[in-house]
Amino acid sequence: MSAQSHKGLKTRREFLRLAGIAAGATALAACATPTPQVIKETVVVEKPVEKVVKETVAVEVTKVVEKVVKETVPVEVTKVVEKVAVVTPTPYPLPPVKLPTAPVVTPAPPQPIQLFFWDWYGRLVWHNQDLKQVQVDIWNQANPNILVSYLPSVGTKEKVLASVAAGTPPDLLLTDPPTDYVYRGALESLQPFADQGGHPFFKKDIYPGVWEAMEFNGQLYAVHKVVNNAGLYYNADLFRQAGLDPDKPPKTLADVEEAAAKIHKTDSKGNIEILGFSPWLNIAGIWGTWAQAFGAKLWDPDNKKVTFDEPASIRALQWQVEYANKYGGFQKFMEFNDTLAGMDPFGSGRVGLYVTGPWQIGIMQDTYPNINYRTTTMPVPEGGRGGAWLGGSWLVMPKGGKRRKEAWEFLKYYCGREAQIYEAEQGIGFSIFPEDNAKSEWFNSLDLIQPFLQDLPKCWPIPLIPTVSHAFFTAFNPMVEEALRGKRTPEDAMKEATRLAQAEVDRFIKG
Amino acid sequence: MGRGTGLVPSPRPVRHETLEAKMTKTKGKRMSRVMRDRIKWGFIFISPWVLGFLLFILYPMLASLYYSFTDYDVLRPARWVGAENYIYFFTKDNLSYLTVYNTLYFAFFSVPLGILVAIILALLLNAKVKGQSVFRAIFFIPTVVPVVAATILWVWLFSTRNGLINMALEAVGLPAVAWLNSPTWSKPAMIIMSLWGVGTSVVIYLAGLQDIPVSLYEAAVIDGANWWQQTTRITIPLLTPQIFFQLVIGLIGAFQVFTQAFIMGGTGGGALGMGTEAGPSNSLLFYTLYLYLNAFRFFRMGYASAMAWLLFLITLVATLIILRTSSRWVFYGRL
Repeated sequence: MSAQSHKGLKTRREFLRLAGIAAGATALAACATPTPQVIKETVVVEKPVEKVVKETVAVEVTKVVEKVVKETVPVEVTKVVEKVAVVTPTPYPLPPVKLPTAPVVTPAPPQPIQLFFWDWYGRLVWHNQDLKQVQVDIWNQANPNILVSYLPSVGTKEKVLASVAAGTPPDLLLTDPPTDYVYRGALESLQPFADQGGHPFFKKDIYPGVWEAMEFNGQLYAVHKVVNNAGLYYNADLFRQAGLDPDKPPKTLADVEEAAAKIHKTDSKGNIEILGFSPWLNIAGIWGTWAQAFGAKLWDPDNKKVTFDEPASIRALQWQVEYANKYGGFQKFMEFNDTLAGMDPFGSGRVGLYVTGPWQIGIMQDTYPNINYRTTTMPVPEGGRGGAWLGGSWLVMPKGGKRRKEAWEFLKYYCGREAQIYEAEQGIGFSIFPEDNAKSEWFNSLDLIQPFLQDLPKCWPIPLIPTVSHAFFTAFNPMVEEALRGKRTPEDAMKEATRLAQAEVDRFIKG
Repeated sequence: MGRGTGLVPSPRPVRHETLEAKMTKTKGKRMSRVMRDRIKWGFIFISPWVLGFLLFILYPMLASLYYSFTDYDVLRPARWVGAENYIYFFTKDNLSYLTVYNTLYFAFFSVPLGILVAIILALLLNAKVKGQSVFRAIFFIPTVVPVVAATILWVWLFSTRNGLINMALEAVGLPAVAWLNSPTWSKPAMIIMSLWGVGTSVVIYLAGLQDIPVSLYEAAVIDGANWWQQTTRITIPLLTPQIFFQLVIGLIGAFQVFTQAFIMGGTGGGALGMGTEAGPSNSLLFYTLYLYLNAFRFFRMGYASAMAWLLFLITLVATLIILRTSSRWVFYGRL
């Protein structure tokens, strides 16, 4: 899932504040990349004094200065060095808080009305801000007669189904991919409202992959709120230990394999001690990530055909099988997972390269600040295109809502430009408007974020199959696993997955 | 179940019925005021149960029976498709037989093993030793632990490379097992875990043991029977009513195993999937888990309803078979 698990830690925030103030502006800039380079820079920054000291030591030492320098200099120098060693993985500076402004809806309803806003995901608490609640509060303050009640974690399919069936759906729903809902006619079209203008949701202003999943039969049905994509994280310390240069990020899948081979360590029984790279950790294993990176679209919308057996998809699986076999089989990778005992795999420091979304930056800062890491774009396979699918949440109006006009007003605000970039910066994701991401000073100051932004324009939506959950759970995933466990050839597996998924699509369309 | 009309002591059911009939049919014929009063209060007292049954059990059951013959995704009106869902289950669904296999496998081992372990524990806990009640409490405590919490603990115990169970196996020279990461061992792991929660059964067997007249053992001792003979000739035969009860209840429970698989599958299985996973190679995809996924993930409520009714039929048949055979092996203590 495109989960954005964030934890806000008070102490951490306070610590960062202090650290930030102490380091000053230059230090902050240097903090952007927690890497060895940074170390050098911080040394320089903190010691205009020190430099002087060094110079004096080096140049004028012997004769003149001895008396003066003796007491102060050597002590300070050693202290400084120690300090630098500890600080190695520097936390990134917190984004400046630019709260969105809510428009005042006129004419306001004469009597206060209440909009119910359900979220499939939980609260997004980040640096002591309950991000979604903050945005709702701002709206409620500006529009006391259109009060929005934000209910996190209730927008699950079970509850949405029941509420729609009972004719009492929430006015607004923040959901995971809305494909299943859209095809079943469970959503109100937003097109009639969009036609009236006064909103920022235009194809030309939004990432193409994002737009694709917002439209259905030429009608606007959902608006993506804060988009995210996969990138490659790599552990700089493990790189250096393996004799690799962390300043040269792996670009292609071949680079990744080469680096992983050098980092990967097994014990005498062939069990993985240090994992170079796993194509099946975190989001790397879901929604056909590798098939997409190899260039497969997995769905042909014009002919309503599932295309799990595209050549690129088979090549992706072939590569996965070969990769698994190189390290003693798929099973070894699975067994490695539970040695982590609930730890974040990359945070454990035992994984060299790792594919996941931008939110990992926050997890690293909050929970694993001592891991020295960097990020780069999704590795590009030979003949492939890199990138992968787009995750996040989509704001929709379930069918049967009574306050659609007011809901649309809120949607315009909540998915509008200001609220998108606010939540994107604070929660580490991206606005669906490329222009705003490009303008974000904070994003621009962070080398860790840049690779994700670079990849965004070429990312695709999660395949828009009408029975997408069924297709992946019962067809694609089991068949990938059969191939990985050597029970089918990649080609056979993908052919069978296509057949199974297509049967359900056909059944659905016929109905 | 549910036969107790409770507070008002009424005459035998047969008479009760005729009275009721009289009351509705013939107003002219007088019924005693007391009797009418009793009936009225009887109905009032059982009404919470009756209403609950009608609204929350009978109606949903009948509704699901209807939906099982339709294509229904909840979001749109149901469309009648006849037996298509049932045919799909048997002929087209690539996972249906796997879920049946997984479930039968689990039931076949977990139920008898559960009975065996519970009886052994009950026999041990029945021994008159110091601290008897403490031991009983210890074995009952696991059943008080919420299933979710217990399952997460077991996932750690079963960890392939850091788990205590594998450490113990290796300590005695046995090879470590991949447990939840292996399609072969994930179900045995679930069965072992299910044995941890036999506390309730133990209590029932303990009660059964208390019921066995001491005089029988005294007679046996006089006849020179040893402990083993006493156990097999007196204790076990006289425990058969409890065993029978546990067998039926245990089987129904095993057919419906869900929570543990839901949690274990997601934690152990690892990388491939979409939040809800079902263990390596779907080896923990049990019947009810798949039913749930069809209903709430794949929007196939009609199909899920058909699956539910199939499960109901399977359970019914299995229970009837056990009932039929019970006269041969269940001993109701007429000596």
